[in-house]
Amino acid sequence: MENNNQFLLKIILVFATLFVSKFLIAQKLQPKNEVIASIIEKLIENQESQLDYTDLQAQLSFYFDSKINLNKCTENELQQLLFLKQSEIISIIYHRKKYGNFESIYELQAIENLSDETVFYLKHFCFINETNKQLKLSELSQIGKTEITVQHENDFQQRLGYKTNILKAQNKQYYLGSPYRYVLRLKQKIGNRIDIGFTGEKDAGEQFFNGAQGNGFDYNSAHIHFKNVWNFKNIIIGDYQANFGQGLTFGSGMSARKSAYVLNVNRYYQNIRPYRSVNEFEFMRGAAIDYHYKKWQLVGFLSYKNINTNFLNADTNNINSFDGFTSFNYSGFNRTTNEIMDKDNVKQTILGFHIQKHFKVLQLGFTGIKTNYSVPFLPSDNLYQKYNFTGNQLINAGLDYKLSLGNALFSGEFSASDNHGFATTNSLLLTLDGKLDLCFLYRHFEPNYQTTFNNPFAENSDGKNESGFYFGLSYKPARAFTINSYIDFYKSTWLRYQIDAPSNGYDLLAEIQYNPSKVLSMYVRYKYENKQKNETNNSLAAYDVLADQLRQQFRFHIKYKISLMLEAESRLELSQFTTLNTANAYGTLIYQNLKMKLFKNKFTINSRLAMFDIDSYNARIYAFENNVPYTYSVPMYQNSGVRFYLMTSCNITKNVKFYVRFSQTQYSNVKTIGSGLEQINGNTQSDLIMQLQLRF
Amino acid sequence: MKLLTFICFFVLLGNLFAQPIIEPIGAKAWSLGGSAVSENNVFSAANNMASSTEIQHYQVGIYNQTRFGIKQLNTINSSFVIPSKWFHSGISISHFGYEKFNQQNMSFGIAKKLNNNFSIGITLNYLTINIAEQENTGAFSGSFSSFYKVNKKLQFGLLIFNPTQSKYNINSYGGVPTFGRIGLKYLVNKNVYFLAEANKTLGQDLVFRSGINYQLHPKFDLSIGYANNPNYITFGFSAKLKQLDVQFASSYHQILGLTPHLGLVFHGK
Repeated sequence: MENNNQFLLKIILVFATLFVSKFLIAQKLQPKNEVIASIIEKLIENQESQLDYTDLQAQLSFYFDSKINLNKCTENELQQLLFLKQSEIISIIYHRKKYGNFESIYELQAIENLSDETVFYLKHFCFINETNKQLKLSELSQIGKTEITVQHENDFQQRLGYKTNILKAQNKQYYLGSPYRYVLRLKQKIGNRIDIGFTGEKDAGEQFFNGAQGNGFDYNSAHIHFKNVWNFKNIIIGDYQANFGQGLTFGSGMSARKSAYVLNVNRYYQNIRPYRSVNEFEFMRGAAIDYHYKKWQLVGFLSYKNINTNFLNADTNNINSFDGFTSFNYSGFNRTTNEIMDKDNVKQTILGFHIQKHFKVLQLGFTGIKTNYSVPFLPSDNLYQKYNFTGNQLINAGLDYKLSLGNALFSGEFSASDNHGFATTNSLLLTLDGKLDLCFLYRHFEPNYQTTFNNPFAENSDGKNESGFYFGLSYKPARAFTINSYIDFYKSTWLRYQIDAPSNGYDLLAEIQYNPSKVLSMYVRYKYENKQKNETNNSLAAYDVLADQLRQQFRFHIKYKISLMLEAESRLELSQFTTLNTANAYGTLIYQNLKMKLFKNKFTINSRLAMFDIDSYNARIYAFENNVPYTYSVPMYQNSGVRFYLMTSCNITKNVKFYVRFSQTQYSNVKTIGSGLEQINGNTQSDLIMQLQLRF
Repeated sequence: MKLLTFICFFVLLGNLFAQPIIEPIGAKAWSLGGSAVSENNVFSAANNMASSTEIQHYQVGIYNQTRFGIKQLNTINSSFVIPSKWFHSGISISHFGYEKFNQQNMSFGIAKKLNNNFSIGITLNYLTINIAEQENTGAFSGSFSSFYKVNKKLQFGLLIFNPTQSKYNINSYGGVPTFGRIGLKYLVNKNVYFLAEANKTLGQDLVFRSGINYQLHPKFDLSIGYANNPNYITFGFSAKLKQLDVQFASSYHQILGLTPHLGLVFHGK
C-alpha cells in the first residue's frame, strides 16, 4: 500500500514538475563556458585575492563532460560540484531514498530546498538515464573532441622594463622579451575516457622562440588522463594536482578562503586531477594513479620537476659551506637575466600515497608524502622563520575522516611532519532543517608543522602557526530572504611576517540576501576584521610593538536580469581602516555593469564602469570582473580614478568563438603606476586581451 | 580685491563650495538632504537622467538657490524633460555665481526604459568657468545613470558623472569633478517615503544624504533631511496647485546659516 502511494506521489511529482518546467526560462540548457563562468563568478566574486582560478574551471569542466548519474551518485560526488550546500545534497539524497529513483531531471524542481538557480546548474552536471554510457576502448579512437584556445594580451603603455636602451646604459636589468603575453591551450577528448591536454604560456617580458626560450613558450604543461580503466578510476601522466582529506597534509592548487559562502569550509576536490592552469609552481609532474577496489581506494603518485628558487652558491673559501636555496620563486616570471638564472635551478621530487576505506557512514583515509630537494632549503635566519622547513627532505603523514550521521557531517584531518610538528582541523556541518545550516570548525596548526603544499581552511595561507574557531550560519527565514553570517577567532602562537610577537584576531561577516524573484537579487554585507600587526608609526623605534588593525567593509549589490538578453548590476562598497597612531583610511567603489546578448546569443557584450577613491592599500577593495574563458580577474582597487572594461564574444561559426576584452584604469591622483621594472609613467593603464577558441 | 577675496573664500571653504554647479538640483531634493539620485522629477535631467523615464508627460522646472543668503553664491537652474515613444530626453541649464565669477553647466541627456523596471540614461555636459579679467574656459563631459524599480515600494538610482575625467581647457582651472552617486527610495506607506544615498567625489570625503517625506495632504508634502561632510539639516514643503508644483526648502549649516531653495515645476498633460 505504502509503495502504491509512493508510486502515485511520484507520478504526480513528475507531471507537476514537467508542467511547471515548460514555463521556466531556465529549462534551456546553456553553453558550457557560460554555465561554468556563471558558477565560478558566484564562487569567487567574494574572494579578495588575484589567484589563478583555472582549477575550479577544470573541476567543473570535468563534471560537465562526465555528468553525474543522479540515481547512483554518492554524497561525495555531489560535493565535487562545488555550488551545492550540504543541506541541498542531503535533500537530494533524501528525496531519492523516499521516492525512489528520479524519473526526470525536472523532478529536482520538486525538492523544496533547492533554489531555481541550483536546479538550473544541476541540469548541466547531472543526468538520469544512461546517456553517458561508457564506450569500449576500441570505440574510443573514433570519437574525439578537440579544443584549441589561443590568447594574446598586451598593455598599451610601456613599462620601464622595456626601455632597454636606457636600462642597458645604466647597467640595470631589463626585460629580454616582448611586452605581449601568449597562451596556447590544446585539449583533446577521446570518448569520455581519455583526455589529453597541453598548455603553453609566455608571460609579458619573456622571450619567445629566442634566447633562453628558444623552443617557444617559457612554460609548458601537458598531460594525458585515462578515466575508468579497469579498477583505475584515474590515471594521469604528465602534470597534475593532488588533494587529500581537508588539504592539511597535502593539497596543491588554490582553495577558497573565508567568504560569504559561509558553509564552504570543507575541501571537496578530486584526489588527483589533470593540471591545466598557468600557475608555474603548484603542480606535480610525473604520474598518478587512482585505484578503486570494492570499498577501498588507493592513490599513488610520483612527481619530479625543476623549480625556480633563489639559489645560494657555496662559499668556495669555506669548507663547511654548501649549495642551497633561500626561497621559492612562485611567480614563474623569467623576463630578466637574473630571473632566467634562477629558472629550474633546483630539482623537487615528491612521492606520495593516499589510502581510503569507505564504511557505511564513515570514510577514513591515510596520507603519506615524502618530498626531496636536490639541494637544501636554507631560509633566512629571521626570527619569524625559525620553525620553517630547512634541509632537503620532508616527510608528512595524515589521517582524515568523514562521518555522516543524519543531517550532521563531521570531517577533519590530523597531520604530522617529520620534525614532530602537528596540525589538526575538524569541522561539523549541521542541517537543522531546510532553512537553517550551521557550521563549526576548529583548527590547530603548530608553528613547527611543515608541509610542501597544503591548503586547509584557515585565516593564513601557509597552513601553520594558527589556532582558531569558526562558526558559520546560513538561515532562510522566508522564501526571498537568506541570512549568512560567520565569526572566526584565531591566534598565532609564534611570530609572523611583520608581526613580531604572538598575535590574535577575529573577523565576522553578516549578509542579508533578498531575492524576490528569479530576475532580481540584492544583498547588503558587512565585514569586520580586527587583526594584530606591527604598529606602523612606532614611536619606540628600538623594537616593534603590536597594534590592533581594524578593517570594516560595507557592500550593497543589486543584480537585475532585465530580459533574456540584458542584465544589469550595481554596487556600492565602502571600506575603513583604523589603527594606532595613523589616520583612518577610507575607500569607496561604485560601479555599474551591463551584460547584453545579441543575435540569438551569438554576440555578447560585458561591460563595467567603476569609480573608486581609496586612500591606501589598507583600505583596498576587490571586485570580480568578467574575463575571457580560463582567465579570472579579481583586481584590487587602490588610489582614485575611473576604471572600465568592455568584453565581447562572438560565435563566428558553430565551432569558432572569438573574445576581445579591453580594460582601462585612469587614476586621478598618481603620476606613475606600479614600481620597479613594471612602472608606467603616466596615470593610465590599458590592457587588451584577444582569444580565439576552436572546437571540433 | 573683492574678486580676490571671493576666490580665496572658494578655496578655503573647499567642500562647501567645491563646484556647486554639479551639486544636486531642486528644492525638493534639498528638502530631503540633497538626496536626488533615486527620485524622479523634472530635475532628474540634472540628477539622474535614467530616473526621468518615470515621467509620463513633459515637465518644465526652474530652481533657485541662494547659498547662505549671499547673492553672489546664487545658483539658478532650468530643466525640461520630454517623454517620447522611444526615449525620454532632458535638458538642464545651471548658472552659478555673479558677473565676476560664474560657472555654467549645460546638459542634454536621453534615457531609455529597457523594461518596466529598469532604465539607463546618458548625458552630454558642457561646463564653463568665467572669471572677470581672465580667459574663459570650458570642458565637455558626460554621465551615465541607471534606475531600478524593484517593486512598488523600492527603487534605486546610480549616477557616474564625468567618467572620462575631463579637464578644462586651461590647466590651472583643474579638472571637472568626477563623482558617483548611488541611492534608494523606499515607500514606507502611501504617505511616507524615505531616501538615502551616498555621494562620492574623487578626492573628497564621502557624503551621506537622507531624507523623509510626509504627505500631509494629497496636495501638500513636508520633508526633512540630513547630509554630512559638511553637516546640513534640511527641511521644506511642496504644494500642488493644479499643474504647478511649488517647492520650498531650506538647508541649515551650523556656522554659515540658512540657504533658501525655491522651485517651480509645471506638469504638462
